[in-house]
Amino acid sequence: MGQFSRFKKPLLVFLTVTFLIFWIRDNGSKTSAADSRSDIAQALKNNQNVKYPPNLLNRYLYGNGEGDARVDPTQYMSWWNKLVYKLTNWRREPRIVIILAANEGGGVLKWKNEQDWAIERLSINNKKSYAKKHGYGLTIKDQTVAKRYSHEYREGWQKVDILRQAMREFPNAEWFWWLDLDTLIMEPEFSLEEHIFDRLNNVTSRTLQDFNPLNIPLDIPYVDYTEELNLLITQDCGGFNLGSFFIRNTEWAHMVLELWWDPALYEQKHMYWEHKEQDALEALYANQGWIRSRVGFLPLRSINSFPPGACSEFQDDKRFFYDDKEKDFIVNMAGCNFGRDCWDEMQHYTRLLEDKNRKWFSRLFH
Amino acid sequence: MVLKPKSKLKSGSKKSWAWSLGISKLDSLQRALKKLTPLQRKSISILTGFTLLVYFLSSLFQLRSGSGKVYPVEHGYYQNEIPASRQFIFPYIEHGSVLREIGIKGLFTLRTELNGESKFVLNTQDKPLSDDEKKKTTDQILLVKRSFLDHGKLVYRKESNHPEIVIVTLIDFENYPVDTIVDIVQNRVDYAQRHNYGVYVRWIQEFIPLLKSQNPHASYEYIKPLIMRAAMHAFPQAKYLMFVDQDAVIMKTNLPLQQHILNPKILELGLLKDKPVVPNSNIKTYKHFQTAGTKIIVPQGPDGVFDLSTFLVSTDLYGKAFLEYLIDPLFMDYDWPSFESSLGHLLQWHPQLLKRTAVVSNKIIAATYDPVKGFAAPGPDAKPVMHYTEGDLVISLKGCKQRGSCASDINTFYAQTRK
Repeated sequence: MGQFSRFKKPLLVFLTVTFLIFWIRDNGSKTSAADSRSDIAQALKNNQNVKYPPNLLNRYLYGNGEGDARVDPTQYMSWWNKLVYKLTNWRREPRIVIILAANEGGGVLKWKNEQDWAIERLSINNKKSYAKKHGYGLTIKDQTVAKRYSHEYREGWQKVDILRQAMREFPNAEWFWWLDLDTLIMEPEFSLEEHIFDRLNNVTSRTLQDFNPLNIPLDIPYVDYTEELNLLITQDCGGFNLGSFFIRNTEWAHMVLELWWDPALYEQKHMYWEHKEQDALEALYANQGWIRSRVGFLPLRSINSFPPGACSEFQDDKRFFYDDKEKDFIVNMAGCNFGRDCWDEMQHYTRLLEDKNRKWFSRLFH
Repeated sequence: MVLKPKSKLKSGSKKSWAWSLGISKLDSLQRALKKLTPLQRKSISILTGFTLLVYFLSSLFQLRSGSGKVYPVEHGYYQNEIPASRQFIFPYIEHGSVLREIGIKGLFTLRTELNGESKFVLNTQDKPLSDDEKKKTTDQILLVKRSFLDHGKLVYRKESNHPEIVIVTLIDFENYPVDTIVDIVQNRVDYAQRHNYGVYVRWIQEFIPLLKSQNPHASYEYIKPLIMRAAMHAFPQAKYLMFVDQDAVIMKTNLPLQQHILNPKILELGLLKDKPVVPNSNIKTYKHFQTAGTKIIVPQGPDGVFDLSTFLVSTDLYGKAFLEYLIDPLFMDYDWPSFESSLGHLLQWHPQLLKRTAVVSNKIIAATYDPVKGFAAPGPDAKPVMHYTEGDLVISLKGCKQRGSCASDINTFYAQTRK
C-alpha cells in the first residue's frame, strides 16, 4: 500500500478538478436536443466561437423555445462567475419551494389582534416543520397592503409579483407551491413527490369535462394536450381556487406570470372580477390555447380541501370538504375572515393534527 | 516507461479467492435447501409463485390506468381537418367572382342572439365535403361555397421536407379583380418554390365570424394575427412565419430569408434600438437587444408607427403566446383606435415580449413605395433613403387604396419580378 500513497495526491487533485468542471458546467437542465441529434451537435460545435448563429431558424442553439426549459440564471456568465455563483448558492437549491403568503394586509387596514398573530405563528410552524422534514425550500412572503397595489386595476397583482420574486430567489427550483396563510398541512408524512409529482398524469385532469362550475367552453382551438404540465390548480364550488397551487419554473410560467395581468383586460372587467387574479386566469384559460395546453386540475381535496364553512351551499358534495378518515393532505380555511371565525377553525384543525400525529407511546404519559 | 499496478498479491490470486467465496456460498445454500422438509419446500414454492403472480398482475393494472386518459387532438377553429397535399396552400382564386355573387350572407349562417343582434357564426363542427360527394354534385354554387368553407381546414402534415418558413397572405375577393389576386398569390408561390418555403393564403372573408365588427375591410388588420396563428397550426413543423400584405410584392425573389432578416447580422443592421415603441412613448426598445433570441420581427415606419405590411413570428412558445394574446376576444374587442395601437400596448406592457421583439426599420422588410420619388436605386454616394428602391426585398404599396392604383401597381411590380 505504501507505493499507492504516492498517487493519492495527484489522484485527489484530478478528481477535484473533474468534479469542479462538471459542477460548473452543469446547469441543471435536461439533456439538450444536441445529445440525441448529431447535426445539432455539429452546429453547436461550429458556432461555439461565433457571436451570431447562422440564422434564427437554428433554435437549438439558444434553448428550443418550446417553453420547457428552466430559465438558467448562469446562462451568460463566464466560468469564474459561475463558480462564484455556485459556491455562494450551493446550500439553497431545493427542488421544490413552498411560498407562504403571510401578514395579509399587514395590519394596515385593521389592527392585528392576538389571534391573528397566533394563527400566523401556527401556520408558519406547520409549513416550516413540513419543509424541513422533506427537504423543501420555504420562503415566507409579506402580503402587506402596498400603495402600488392600491389602484383598483392592480389589486390582484401582488400574488403574481411574489411568485416572480420567488422565482428569482430560487432560480434552480423546479416547482413552486403557493400556500395561503389560512392553510394547514394535515398529513406531514406525505411527500409531494409521492402525493403529486410521481403520478402527475394519474391525479390530474387536463380538461374540465368532469367538473366545470364556471361553464367554461370545453373545446377551444390550438390546445396541445401533449405538452407537459406547468401549472396545477384546483377548482372549488365557485371556480378556480388559487389558495394552494403548483407552478413549474419554466419559460412558459414566466410568460404566463407576465401576461396574467393586462390593463386592457382588467379595465373591461374589473367590475365583474371579484376574485381578481383568479378571474383573470380563468379568462386566459377560457380563450388562449397555449395557456390551456399546460394547465392541469387536481381534485380540490388533494391539496386544498375545505372546512364545512366554505362552499356551505354545497354541504352534501363530498368533493370539497376535508375528511380526516380519508387522509386529506391539506385543509384550507378559505374565506374564514368573511363571517366565520378563523381562530376557531385554526384551533380545531391544529388539535386534530396533534391527535392524528401523536405517537403511540405519548399516550402512556396522559 | 510502462506503469504497472504494484500489488503484493500475485495476479489472479484475488480472483480465484472471490470465485471460491461465491461457490462456497452457493454450496451452503444448497445444503440448507436439502435440509428442508417437503412441506417447507412446498410452502416456499407456493409463496414464490404467488409473489410472482401479484407482481405481474400489478404491472398489468398499472399499464391500464396509465393509458386511461385520452385527450382531444389539437385543432384549429374547425374540429375537422383535411390533409393538404402540397406545401402551397391557397384557395381556388377563380372562384372569386362566383363568391362575390353568393355574398357573405350566402356563405355563413346568420344567427340572432338573445339581445336582438344578428351575427355570422362559424360552424366549428362543419364536416368537409368528401371527394365522392364532390363528384356527385353538379351544383357549381354549392361546390364553390363548400371549397370556401373547407379551405380553412387544410393542414400540411407531411414530415419529410417540411418547409421551415411559411409565407402568409390574405386575399380579398370583394375589392380585387381575379387577375390581381392571381398575381399576388403567384408572387408568393414563386418565392416559396425557389427556397422550399410553404405558402398559406386565405380569403379575408373566411374570418368574418371571428370579428366583432364582422366587417373584414374595417377590421382587416385584426385578421393578420388570426391567419398567422392558423398558419402555425397548418404547418406544425415550420419555424418562422412571414406575413406579407396583399398590397405588397416580394421583389427580390432570389434572396432567401435565412440570408436576410433571419440572419442576426443583417437583423442587427435594421434594428431600431432605444426608440419609442409607439410615438411619444416612454417605453423604448432595448438598447442592448439580443438578436439571437429574436422571436418576433415587426417593422416600424419613419413616423414611429408600426408598419404591419410584413412581419415575422417564430412558431415556438413566444410566437404562440404573442398571437393568441392578440386574438383573445377579450383583448381584440377592446376599443382600440387601431390594430397597431393594440400591438403597441402589448409590447409596452410586457417586457418578456418586448425583449424578444426586434423592431426594425420598415425599409429592410417592407419598404414603402413612393410614387413621387420613384424606385430608382440611389447612387453609391447618395444619402440613404427610407422609401422603396430597387434591390429591397419587399415593396409595400401602402396608400395605394387612396391613390386607387392597387391593382395596377401590383401588376407593374409583379411583372418586374418576372423579368
